[in-house]
Amino acid sequence: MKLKRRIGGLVLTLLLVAAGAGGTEQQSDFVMVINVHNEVTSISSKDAELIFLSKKRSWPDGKNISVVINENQKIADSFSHTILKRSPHQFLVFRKKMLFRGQGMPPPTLKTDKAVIEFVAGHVGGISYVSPDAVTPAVKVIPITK
Amino acid sequence: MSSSCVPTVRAKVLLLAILFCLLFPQSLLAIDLSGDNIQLHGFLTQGYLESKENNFLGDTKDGTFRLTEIGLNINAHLTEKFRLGGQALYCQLPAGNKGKVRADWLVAEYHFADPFGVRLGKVKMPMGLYNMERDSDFLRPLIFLPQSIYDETRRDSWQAHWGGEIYGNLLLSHWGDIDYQLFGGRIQYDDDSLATLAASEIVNRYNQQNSLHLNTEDLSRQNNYVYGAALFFNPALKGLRSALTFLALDDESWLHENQVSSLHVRSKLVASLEYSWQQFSMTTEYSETDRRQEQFNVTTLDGPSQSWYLLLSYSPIEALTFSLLYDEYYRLKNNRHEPVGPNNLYPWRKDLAASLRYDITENWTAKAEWHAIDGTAFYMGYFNPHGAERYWQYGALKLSFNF
Repeated sequence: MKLKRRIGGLVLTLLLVAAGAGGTEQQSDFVMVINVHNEVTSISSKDAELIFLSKKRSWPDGKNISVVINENQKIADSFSHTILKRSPHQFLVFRKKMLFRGQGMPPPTLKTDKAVIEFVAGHVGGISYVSPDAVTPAVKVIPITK
Repeated sequence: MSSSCVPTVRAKVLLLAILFCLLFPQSLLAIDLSGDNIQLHGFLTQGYLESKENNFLGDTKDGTFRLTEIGLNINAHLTEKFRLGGQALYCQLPAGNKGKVRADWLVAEYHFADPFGVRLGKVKMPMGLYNMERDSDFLRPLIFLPQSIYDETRRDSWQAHWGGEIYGNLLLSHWGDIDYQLFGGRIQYDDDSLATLAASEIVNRYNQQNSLHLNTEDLSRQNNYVYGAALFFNPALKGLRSALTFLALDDESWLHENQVSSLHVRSKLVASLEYSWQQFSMTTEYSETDRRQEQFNVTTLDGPSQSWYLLLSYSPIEALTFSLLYDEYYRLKNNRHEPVGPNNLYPWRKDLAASLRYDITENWTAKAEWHAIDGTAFYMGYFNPHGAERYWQYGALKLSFNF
């Protein structure tokens, strides 16, 4: 059982290293995950920013993007500063502005990696970010390019 | 006017809903009102306002708790691209706004693609950085935004219009991105809006000058049109945001068949810049409003006003922000110091303010601020019928809850 887990961890690490190679940013705290049926193979950090700010709402194939915000404290701060260029508090204010101005509905929030993975696995256009060690085969990890 | 607003609003909402359903019949096939497709949110704020030397927005020299806002909104994604939403607002200010519940915004939105979407209904008007969130205290940096641009007496007038807008986001390669809005429609004024009440001052003055007895209770105010545009530039540089907004409108006040006054705003331009660096932030906006005003067919004002402010903030911790504001307004850019009648000898406003904001939790916000003012612009004659002092002050406290 332990051996299986170790092999699984090693394979996952190799996949993440491979995904991180070739002009991509190294993200130590979080990885971007999408639905396994999504054909997208990478995402630029600008596109990720626009997606989580609800300014980009469709994938290249036209499918609607279903964003879920991961409130796991361990990675929320890093994600927010790295991708959104703002603190989690500023991101929260941004979402409230969108809501109370009548400009849109902010994406749903979930508190754990497990719940986020379930959401992304259950939505064909799903996207979010989770801790690297929380990734399961139910979702697809994509590298973030510059 | 107000009592007739209710059925009008309902009728318009119904019309919009029907229109969208007719235009996009496939919407009806995919309705899912469960889970994340429907959201209910709201807020409640209570403030205290006290002024010295002059009244501000009503009888405030003895202090008042008439500073309340309650909002409740609901949003529903009927399909992936089609959203219906609305916010009911109860707002009480020291004068005017007699505590009626009104539609703050009420929109049907169709998001065709990322660079292009449409909103119809009662839509918030972009003007500077903060106009669209003026009703939500917890979203504003101050209790009272810089009055030179966000004149509180026009808050209920210039915040939303019935009509539509197109909006979208345009990516500018590595430079950043731009959010844009183009809008047009009509503003629906309430009888108890501050600007409408202040128009009664014009009639009273006319009565005095001409020994007449025109009854101001029948005064009505209408907007013939409003249109404008907004560009919000989000550059690649972290912490920087800039905006350019424009609007034009035409208003009239009527007393039976007599036109009491008219206001033709040729352009209101606001240029905005905001920069945050670590614990510091700086916001500045500059605006000119080129307008012509007539009272009983006599031109009483013709030319641009001038407004600008600088807001410096420091947040030792994210939840706590100290701010300093300097805000300046001239009624006429090219004739800054000419008195306007016996009740407005100082038609400018220079405001030096200090404020404190504390976000107690994600849902609770407390604010305190103090303003020292030089000048009597913005209807101070109406709030101080026996004459307004040039130098005066006011302070405010406010507690907000949102969910």
